Amino acid sequence: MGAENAAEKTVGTGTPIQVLSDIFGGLIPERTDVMANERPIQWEEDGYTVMRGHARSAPGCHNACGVLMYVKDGKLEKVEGDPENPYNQGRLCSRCLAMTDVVYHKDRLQYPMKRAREDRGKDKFERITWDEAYDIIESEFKRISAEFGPETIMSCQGTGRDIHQVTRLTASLGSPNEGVPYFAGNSCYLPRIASMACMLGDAAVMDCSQFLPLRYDDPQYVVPELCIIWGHQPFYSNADGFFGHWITDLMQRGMKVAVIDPQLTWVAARAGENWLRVRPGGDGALAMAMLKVVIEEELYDAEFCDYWVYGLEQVAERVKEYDLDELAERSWVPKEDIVRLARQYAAAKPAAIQWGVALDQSTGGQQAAHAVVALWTITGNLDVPGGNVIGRPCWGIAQPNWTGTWGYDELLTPAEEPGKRMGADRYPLFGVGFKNLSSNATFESWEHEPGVDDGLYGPYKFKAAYFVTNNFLACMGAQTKMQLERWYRKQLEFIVWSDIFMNPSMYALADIVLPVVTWAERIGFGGLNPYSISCINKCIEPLYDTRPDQTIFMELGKRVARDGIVPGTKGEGDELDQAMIEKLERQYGITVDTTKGVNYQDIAYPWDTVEEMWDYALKQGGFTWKELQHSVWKMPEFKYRKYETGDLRDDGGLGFQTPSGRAEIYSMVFQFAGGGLDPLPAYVEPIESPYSEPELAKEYPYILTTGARIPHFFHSEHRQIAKLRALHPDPLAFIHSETAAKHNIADGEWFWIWNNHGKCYYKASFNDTYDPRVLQCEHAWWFPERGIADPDVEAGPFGVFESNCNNLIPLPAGVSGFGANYKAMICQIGKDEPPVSNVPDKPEVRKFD
Amino acid sequence: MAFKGFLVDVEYCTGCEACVLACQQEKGFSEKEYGMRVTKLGPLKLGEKDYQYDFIPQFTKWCDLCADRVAAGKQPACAQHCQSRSLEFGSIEDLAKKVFREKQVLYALVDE
Repeated sequence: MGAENAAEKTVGTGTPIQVLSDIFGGLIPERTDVMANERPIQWEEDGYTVMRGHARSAPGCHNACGVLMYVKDGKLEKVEGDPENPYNQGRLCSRCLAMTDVVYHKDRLQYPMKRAREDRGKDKFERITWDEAYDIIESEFKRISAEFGPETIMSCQGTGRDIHQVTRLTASLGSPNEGVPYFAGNSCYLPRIASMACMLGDAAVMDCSQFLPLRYDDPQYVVPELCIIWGHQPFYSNADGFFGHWITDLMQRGMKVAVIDPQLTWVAARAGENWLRVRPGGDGALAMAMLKVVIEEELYDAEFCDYWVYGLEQVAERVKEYDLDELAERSWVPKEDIVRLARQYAAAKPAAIQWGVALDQSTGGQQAAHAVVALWTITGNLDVPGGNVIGRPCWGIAQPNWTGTWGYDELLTPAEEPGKRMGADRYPLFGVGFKNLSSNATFESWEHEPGVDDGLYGPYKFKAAYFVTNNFLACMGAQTKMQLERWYRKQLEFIVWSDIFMNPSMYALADIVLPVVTWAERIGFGGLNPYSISCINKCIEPLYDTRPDQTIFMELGKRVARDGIVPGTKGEGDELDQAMIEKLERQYGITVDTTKGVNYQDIAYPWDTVEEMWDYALKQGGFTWKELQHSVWKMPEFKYRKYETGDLRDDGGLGFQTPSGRAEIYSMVFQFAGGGLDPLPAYVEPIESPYSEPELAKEYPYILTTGARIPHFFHSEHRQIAKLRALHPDPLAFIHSETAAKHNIADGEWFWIWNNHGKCYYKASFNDTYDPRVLQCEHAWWFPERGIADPDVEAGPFGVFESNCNNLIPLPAGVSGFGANYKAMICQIGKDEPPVSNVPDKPEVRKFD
Repeated sequence: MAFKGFLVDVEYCTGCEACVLACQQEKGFSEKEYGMRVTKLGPLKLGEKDYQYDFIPQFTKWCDLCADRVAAGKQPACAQHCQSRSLEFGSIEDLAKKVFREKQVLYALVDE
């Protein structure tokens, strides 16, 4: 692959912009330098058969840790960490160590079910066979496709799972729509990915030696002198392919830490004077202040900037426009702390920044990420050992990579992708190659009245959805009770849902339930990381009448793939698209007969088994799934300073895969995206903050942040696992004791939190290291033990709307379409239930300029 | 006396409680039984820019130091899975020699 993917496509203003997601999807030339030997994958030990594999969903996780699975009499008895696996080196977290309790839990979904649309939210599920489930799905998808267009069918994912292959299923229908339509501002990693991709042509991650099989012992590796942990609790969140305890490994090897966080996390208590207690939502002000100090005190790496960076002068002009005292005031961090940390970061060689989702979850998330990327770039910490290094899908294998998508390029025409993708022509960054549907465009479309000039976006409304192991009412939906009642329950004519357990969102909405398997019951490979390709190895047969998600995609895909000729494969002369023909011939090993052309049905799912499908997906690596299984994991050779060796650009030239060939802290992609975005880093104040809406903030004087992870739960999962729940039984809200005293709230007492959007109910946990003006709520709570409830009950099924801070989250996203206030709401608190509804009369869905 | 037990590095225990689950899985315990629990201290403000926020495991009488695993040449389940590498298993006499800074705790469990 390569040339045809890198072709320039015209988007938005007519300015040619390279389609950025292709960077994540296969531009690396085929290579065979596999740095993994065959190793035993199975042996007998003490009465057990032991198998090696990787833990990669379900249940969800952002990592792919190496595991040893101990099986006796066809039953998984225990799961241990694989000491030989370079990723986790024998360690596991509490969730994998409770894996057998998940696999054999009494509440596992056991067979497919159906329920009539009018009974959504009611206990009226009826057992059916897989064939009946597939018949209904096929007939409904085909009906809706014919009646409203295939683009009105979307697939929606839960995060941290190896189910990204569903993009191929939606593409096979002819729909470009996959994503998280309930998640305002697509506020998880995408704002940061977008900033990195636009500026660097690639994504970068803190280097903890994870690209090197010998890890800390590799002579190439350098332990960072300093790491700034920004809006992140790595030990509990293990986010996005980052094993959190790599940080303690490095601290034990001498790395110092600085922590930017509203809460005193465990690691913040080890940062000494360098715990900067930022205002939730003020991260961008802090980043701009640090950038100003580094530039104006000339602390940057002048030689690196001279050779490799574009835009230093323009950024210097930009930071001049900001006053350091004002930025410090907005961030709630004393100026001297910011100046000191900026100086220490610039002086440390190497230094790394390990950032978290807090940077995405405010209106200005994308701009804040821009400032942070500029910081590590101008200080010369980009792609050097111990800095922030550029990683790409191993061998260009895109399938396990969310941002890469899988199947779009051959199964959709440009008129469909991006032509029909929800919001690609509405929010600038959705037009430059991030092949997700825009959640905020979806919100607008729900409210838009066709034929009426109401200023809202709405070429069409979604009519059907396939939710793949997702629980958005608990997890990432903003104002989800409103979304459920006003939009999802009414607008969607047909809803398919898969998971391993019944969850509240499935209970509220599903018409068809598909019970799926855990990672112990299937084969595959993952995960969402650029370090290695990790084999997911089945150790037991699927329980009950369950099937793997990927088997379902393939079986359904064969039924629903559309009947039509791939454009450019039939005819003669100019009618033919030679690049497409060559691609199809190479990828599928076919010879295209141009008198007949290639039918989508023949290429959508041409495989008989899932293993054959994986062989196809792994082709670029030059190995089969069986070969992967026998080495368990494969790591490609990793290089630092790739801009010096021509390893980043398609044309083999030096530099970065950007329009200028340099790391663009002045981003031309931003400049030309859609209607044009700010090409320079900036501070954008969150909407509904004490600064942007001081009058409203008088009514709601506190700032609520959310989402701090609990080690025993993956978002809303694991709440029914008794051993894990025993360690953390209740939803907590962390609050300063002085603030609580003002409202007569005692430690451990339940109290209400509310604002103009909604309310929630939490158990107080005093913590005097918070700013007294700030509270934090845990997210994604529901109560499996309460069972189902009448849909009209305020708390919703399994009490999902009760301790749900998402009720307070405003819907609008930042100007790019990315970033919304999940971590920076204003609120009021009290012991009495406030007269606030979680279903406002008219939600605010306006596009924010 | 020749005690066996753990050297616990309290400076690095992050409170992830992987040890608790590793133990429960190894021993087939229910949620009401455990070889260890992790206790939290803080977060405390000791002075300007000076905080303490620590975790420390405590062991129950159910802990037998994973005698079967150790006999087979493995680490106790908790020590192998400890994500921050802050549990070191061995003889207390040997472990005592490895103490090199503050906040390291010797926990004697079994007299052999």
